[in-house]
Amino acid sequence: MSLRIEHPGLLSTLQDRGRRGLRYLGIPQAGIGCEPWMRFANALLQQPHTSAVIETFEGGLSVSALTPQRLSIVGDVDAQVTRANGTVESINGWRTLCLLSGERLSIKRTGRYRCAVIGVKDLNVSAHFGSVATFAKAGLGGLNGSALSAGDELPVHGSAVLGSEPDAVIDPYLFPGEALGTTQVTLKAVPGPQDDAFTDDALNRFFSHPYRITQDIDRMGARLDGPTLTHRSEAHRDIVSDALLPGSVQVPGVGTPIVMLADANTAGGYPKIATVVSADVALLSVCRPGTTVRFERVGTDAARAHTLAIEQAVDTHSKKVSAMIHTDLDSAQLMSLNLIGGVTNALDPI
Amino acid sequence: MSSADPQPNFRFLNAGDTALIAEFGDTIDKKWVNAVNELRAHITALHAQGKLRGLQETVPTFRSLAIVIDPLLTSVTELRSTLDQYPIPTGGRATAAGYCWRLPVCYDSEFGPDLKAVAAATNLTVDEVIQRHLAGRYQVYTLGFQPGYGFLGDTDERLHLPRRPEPRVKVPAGSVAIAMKLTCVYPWDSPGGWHLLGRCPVSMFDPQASRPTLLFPGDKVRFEPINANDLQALERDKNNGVVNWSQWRERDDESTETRSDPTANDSAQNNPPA
Repeated sequence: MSLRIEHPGLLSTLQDRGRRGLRYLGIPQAGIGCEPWMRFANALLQQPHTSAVIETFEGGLSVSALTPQRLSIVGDVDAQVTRANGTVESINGWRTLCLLSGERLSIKRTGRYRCAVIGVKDLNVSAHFGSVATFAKAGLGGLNGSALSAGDELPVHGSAVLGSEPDAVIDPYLFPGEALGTTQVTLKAVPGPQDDAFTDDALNRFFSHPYRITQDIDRMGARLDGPTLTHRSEAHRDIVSDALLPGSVQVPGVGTPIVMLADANTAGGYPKIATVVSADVALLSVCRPGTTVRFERVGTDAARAHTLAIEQAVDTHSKKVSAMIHTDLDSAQLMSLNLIGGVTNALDPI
Repeated sequence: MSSADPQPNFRFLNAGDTALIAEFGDTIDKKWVNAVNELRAHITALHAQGKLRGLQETVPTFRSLAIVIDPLLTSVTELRSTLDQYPIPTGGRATAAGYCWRLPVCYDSEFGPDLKAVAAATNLTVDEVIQRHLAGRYQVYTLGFQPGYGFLGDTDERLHLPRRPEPRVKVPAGSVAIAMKLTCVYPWDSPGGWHLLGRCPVSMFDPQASRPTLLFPGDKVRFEPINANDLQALERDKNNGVVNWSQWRERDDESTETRSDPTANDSAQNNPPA
């Protein structure tokens, strides 16, 4: 009962919502960069939305079924499926996929985003300190504390019952309120905790000028390029460390910001000009280098309202996906759920 | 801190929709560490009484306590008003006694490449630097930066130095270092700007242990010199995955605290009441 990793590609790891409660020991949250995609991947497979998934960066991931296996693919993916009889099919993301024994899925590229999410029906991996999330630097989570590598076999509960049910395909859906293929995003951010370490001019620049995501982006953070942000004094460039969270916008002495992501260290010594609202960190996590980023200044109440609105939209969409899979793919029902025919892109304006 | 001292003031700083920062000071000072830990104990107690819905965890640092919440369950505004309603009781709480560790360090120049520079900067001989580092009985103030990385202090006043102007790209795991008023053992190969005095062969982090970090906030540490042969033998064990942390407890450690799963230790914060 398992799925074999033939090739991990650039970086593929098992992730779920990450660890809580261990930051006081220096252990970061880790977890999936884009939680909405994880939820869609699990909704496609009719399983709990917090089930661990494979997060894969760029192309190259190749998996083969040792026993029949149902998967889901979420993201702007070009992929190939090699069937048992040797035929090769080209497929895209936003769908389920049944692999029979010996069949293989190969992700060629992740298109307009830097990562994609692969859901695995009934994946059976034990939690490590409360989470399956891989944090390889400290040997935490995943299969054995590591990123996935060639030859790994992911254990799966029981044997997937693969009947005559066809694969399901849904419309692409990047993120509530975002057009697919966007090369420019607006992230809501709350000034602080160290906004007073910067000049007024720096704060205004940060919230009014566009920044670009550089090549220096990984699971830990994204270094941005754009107008330089001036610290109020030399002494404000390097502070006694305080807590870092996903979304913290650190500004080191050079003056360009770094937005921390899921694998953020628990503490850091650069002042933080602002904190990106939690729901929007997910969006930044999937963006490619070169994407234009603007920061919209909000207060804490507006920040929370935004997170609740995104949560509502993601939850609604997940339920629609789930309901669609649950029906016997009756086309009338599908139409009534607004999930086919290109309708989903217009979902849930917020 | 004695009860005669005025209660340290803190101010709230915003950190998005998932956290609120209570900031006490902006220097490395034991009084801030104690104040941060008192607030942390207070919040843990409030949470255990069911008064802090949506609390996920608290993160102590030298300057502040980060109070992390689930924004789907509560808001920063609600958190602030609850904390205003229940001020920290005066008198403070006794900090829970931690373990006392006696960690071996080889101070050969091969492992302490900054010994000479530290001696020059402090007007001490290399041997005096080592003796002063060995004389300290350090408190684990906080952990952070990396899993298992403990900030230990205070060091001997003569050893107080700013960080190196040029951080090293790679400091080897196990390096024992000083900077500011502090000393540490690097758990992992990593970039680092502290002054390297020696090498400790004890792993600071074991992902397979029920409590994965050797150090906990509140623990005490002293260092004990070993020679290069001992270092080599112990590093061989470490590389073979042999971890027996109990052998590094002080012989006279009277702490009876038992530690298992750190998430269980902190269960009040990790399992919010339904």
